[in-house]
Amino acid sequence: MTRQAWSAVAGAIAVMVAVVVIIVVASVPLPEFPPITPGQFDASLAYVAETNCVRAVDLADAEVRELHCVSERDWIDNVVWTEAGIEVGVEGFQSTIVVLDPETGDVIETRNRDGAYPGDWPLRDQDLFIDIPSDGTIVIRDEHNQVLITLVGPEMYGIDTLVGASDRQMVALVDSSQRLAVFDRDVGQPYLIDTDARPYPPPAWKP
Amino acid sequence: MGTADDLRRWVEAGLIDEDTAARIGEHESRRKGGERVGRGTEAVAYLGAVLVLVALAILTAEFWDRIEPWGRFAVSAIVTGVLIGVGWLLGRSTEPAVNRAQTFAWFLAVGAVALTAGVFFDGIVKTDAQDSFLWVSLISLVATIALWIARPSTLAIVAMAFAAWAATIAIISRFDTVPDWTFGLAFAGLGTAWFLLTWGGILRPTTASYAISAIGILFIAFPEGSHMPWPLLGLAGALALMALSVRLNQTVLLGFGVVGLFVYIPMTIFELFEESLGVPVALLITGVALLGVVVGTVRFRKEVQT
Repeated sequence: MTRQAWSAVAGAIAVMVAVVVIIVVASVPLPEFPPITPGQFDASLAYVAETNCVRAVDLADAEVRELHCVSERDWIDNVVWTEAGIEVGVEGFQSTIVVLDPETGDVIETRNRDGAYPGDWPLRDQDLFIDIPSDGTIVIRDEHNQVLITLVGPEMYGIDTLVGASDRQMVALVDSSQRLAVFDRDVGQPYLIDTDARPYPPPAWKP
Repeated sequence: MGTADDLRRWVEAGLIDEDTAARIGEHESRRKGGERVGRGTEAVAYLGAVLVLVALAILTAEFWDRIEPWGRFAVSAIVTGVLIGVGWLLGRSTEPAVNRAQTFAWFLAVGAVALTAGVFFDGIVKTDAQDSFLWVSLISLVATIALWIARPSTLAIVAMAFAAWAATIAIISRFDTVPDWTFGLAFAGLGTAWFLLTWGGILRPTTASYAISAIGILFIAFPEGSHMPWPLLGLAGALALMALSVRLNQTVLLGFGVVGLFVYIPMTIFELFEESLGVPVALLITGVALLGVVVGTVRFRKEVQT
């Protein structure tokens, strides 16, 4: 190689190293969610994981259970926790509603979907609002405009799903990093449940 | 010693670039009666090949979702192998049109490699979408580098650029903690490094490689749009390309520099003066500035050519 070629290689490496250093320095950490501890809350939640599986967590013992998985050819487009069990809408290769036992994950019933959604999409309208001010923070407010939590994260960070429980106390969120966390409206600190949650379909609280 | 050897020595000595060498080679080949395939015949052959490929793709799509992941992997791996093998066989010819067909076959093979890797990571290893994208882009980058080393054509370096850009996006997307502007910075950094490697005679064909580096450098402000100071950095990049076009006698850099000015001058003026001076005055300043760019370009072009 000529001297010019060596200079070019050295210059190219220096440029790429400089870019990597700038990116590392510019990075802003994600908001910290401490892990949930047993006995902290008394509620249960079902959600869909990135693995195409339905999971449930009983916040009382903070234990996550994988209940049911669907094939990669299908996708879960709705999860509702009803008195009958956890109703899961499955689309794709099949088009069914599967009702799961919340404790064991056993399939209680499988019925043809015929275009219907399981349950009634209850409590999806929670009067919860997400503000994203220009300073990069994310503010979650209730219907009285009261600030419930404020999260400070990187520019691309966001809250993809926000679901309140029927007791209007607990709230579940899935952020843009697929982290599922829950918080009490009166406490305002989210606690981490899972790092592998899908925002859609939204998690479903046990009624 | 034949023409091909002479041309290779001249390229290595920096007397002519790859494009010029290829054109001279083709001309000499035609003059000596070496080229037996006419341009029209070649065009019809490509049209036929594309139609066959589209038909095969449609047929495959019919049953693609119904076969298991390992079956999809096997099909795409076989297609990859066939395309690489066809390219290898075509490369043994002395006919320029057949050599171009080799580049085309290997270009398609890069797509097949990406498909095979995608099926492997998505369907068999079952990584998540972000991981799959990262692995597919990195494997494609390695494949395109191998293709470019084997035959440093324009098509090969364009494929390498797309793979490098995809890998850049995949790597940065993995970090949830970085701001949007890092995409622009990474593309500009990659463009600058690409430019240096082209200037150093490592990346070739020169014209295509300079064009790729210019695209990267001008991309710096795209993720942030008109937010300051990004349009100013884009403007600086465009002006630098124009200055380098004179220094290196590269019209392609002048062309991209002018395109950059047409993008970033209005963006900068509107961002700086829209509120203080209003839209009509901002438009007027933009118009005058762009007229200045046109006049300046004519002078610059003369300088580049001389």
